[in-house]
Amino acid sequence: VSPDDQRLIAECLQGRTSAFGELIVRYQDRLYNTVYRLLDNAEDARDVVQESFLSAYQSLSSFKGDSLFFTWLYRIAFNTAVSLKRKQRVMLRMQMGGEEDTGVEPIDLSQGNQPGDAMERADEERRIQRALNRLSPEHRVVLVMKDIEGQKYEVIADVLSVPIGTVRSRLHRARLELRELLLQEQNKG
Amino acid sequence: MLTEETRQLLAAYVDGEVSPRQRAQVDSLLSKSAEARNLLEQLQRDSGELRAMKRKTLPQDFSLQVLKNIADKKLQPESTPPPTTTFPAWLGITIAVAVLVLVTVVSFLFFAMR
Repeated sequence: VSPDDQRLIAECLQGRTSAFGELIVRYQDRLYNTVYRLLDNAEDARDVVQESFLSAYQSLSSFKGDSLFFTWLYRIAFNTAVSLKRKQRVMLRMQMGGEEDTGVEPIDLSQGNQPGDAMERADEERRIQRALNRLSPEHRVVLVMKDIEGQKYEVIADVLSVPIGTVRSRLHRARLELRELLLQEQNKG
Repeated sequence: MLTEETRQLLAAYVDGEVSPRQRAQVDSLLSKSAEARNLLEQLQRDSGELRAMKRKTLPQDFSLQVLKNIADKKLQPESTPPPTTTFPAWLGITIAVAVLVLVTVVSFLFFAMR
């Protein structure tokens, strides 16, 4: 854990809540971007990040400092996101009378008036995001953490509580699966 | 047609996660197979596209909203429970034996004096 994070955590445990505010500012966007790519839903991602910070605040004294503070936060957020997805799947099954979630979320329609390149770029991103959504959760998370967040294998393994070898093989399988899905997307279009 | 093993090897190559022997194997494969070259190029492009995805951010005041939530819910960092003092097994056995001996002696004395 970085000395600066350590200092803020200590201050927070001594009752200075604003120190926790500084930790939030420091990590909110990285956490949000990852969760957003996992869930593909801005509102859910925001709720998960908020919930994760609240949980982290309450269990701050259990943070031992043997990993990076961000890794610890990440683990909390990942578990919160998984639990939210599980709840949503149950809700959807109840509403649809047992039908399975197709995994494809409504796409972001806020890209309305973008000219040329930007619009093409946005289309491309939507295509990739749709393919990401169709990956199994364990494949999606390793791709997001490795390629989008640029995390090291050790960190991914720590967050997911799996051996590094598992991260490696999941990542390789995820790349091939993503390729297949993008090919299907391409053939559809 | 590439085997599953070869496809996995190419995926590992994208991450630079190959041994020198595997690297030589891939290099040789790439020089011979257009299908392998094509797959590797696509896998590298996919990885690049993931990296290039626009980063999503939260509003500036997000931290204030979380802090307000903490205040509204009156949340506090939970204090870590003090480490529980473990009672060594040998001490338990010693005490049990001592109690047993004491009861035996007292009983013996009680009946012997009657």
